[in-house]
Amino acid sequence: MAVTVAWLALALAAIAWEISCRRAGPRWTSLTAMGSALWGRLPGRLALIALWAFVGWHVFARYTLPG
Amino acid sequence: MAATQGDSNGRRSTVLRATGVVGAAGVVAYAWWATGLQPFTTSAYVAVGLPVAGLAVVAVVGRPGSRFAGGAAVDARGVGRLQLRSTFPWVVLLLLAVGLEVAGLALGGRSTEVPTLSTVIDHALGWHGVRLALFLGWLAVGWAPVARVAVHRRARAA
Repeated sequence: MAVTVAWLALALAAIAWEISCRRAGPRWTSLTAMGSALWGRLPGRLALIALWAFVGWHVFARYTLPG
Repeated sequence: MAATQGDSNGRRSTVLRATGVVGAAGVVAYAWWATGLQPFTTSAYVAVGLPVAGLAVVAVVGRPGSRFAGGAAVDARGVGRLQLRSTFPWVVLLLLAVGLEVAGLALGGRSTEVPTLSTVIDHALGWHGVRLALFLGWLAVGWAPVARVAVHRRARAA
């Protein structure tokens, strides 16, 4: 249970940090800015799509319901 | 003349809005269908693969500076400053996540005490509505760079 809470805390921290990065300006880099930087070149675009595809297949096509 | 141009712009705006509504409804319908499929089946792999293939085509066809490839130019905040100092908090979050995942995998991957991220997500996937919401979020994240560029270009053209 504690680790499940830790996962949720990590997810919330990531969302909160993304929002504060977008408000703080250029001092801190947001995930969106990193994605945009990678999206500017073909290898970066392909890497982002590969990561996105892995997440999609892993979560939506290869999930196992507990129990 | 001005009234005719105004009518034309109004019609164009209405058509664009209607197209957007129909498109959004189509995406939700597709997501509902895709998240209702049995996992580990060919149809489930294909349902996830179709948006991936579509985005891959856009990414390969779009060249730097072209319609869909200008993501870096569109959202330039922080770009060009990708140094360890400005990304340090992300590295910390990533290391924490990797640590939890490795610990969970070391315990067999299905431990109730130390679940992996997949196990935590699997608990939520029992409800079709949650799967639908996550699938729509996944689509939004993947297609966001293309959407940002399209919106940016439309704003510049207006």
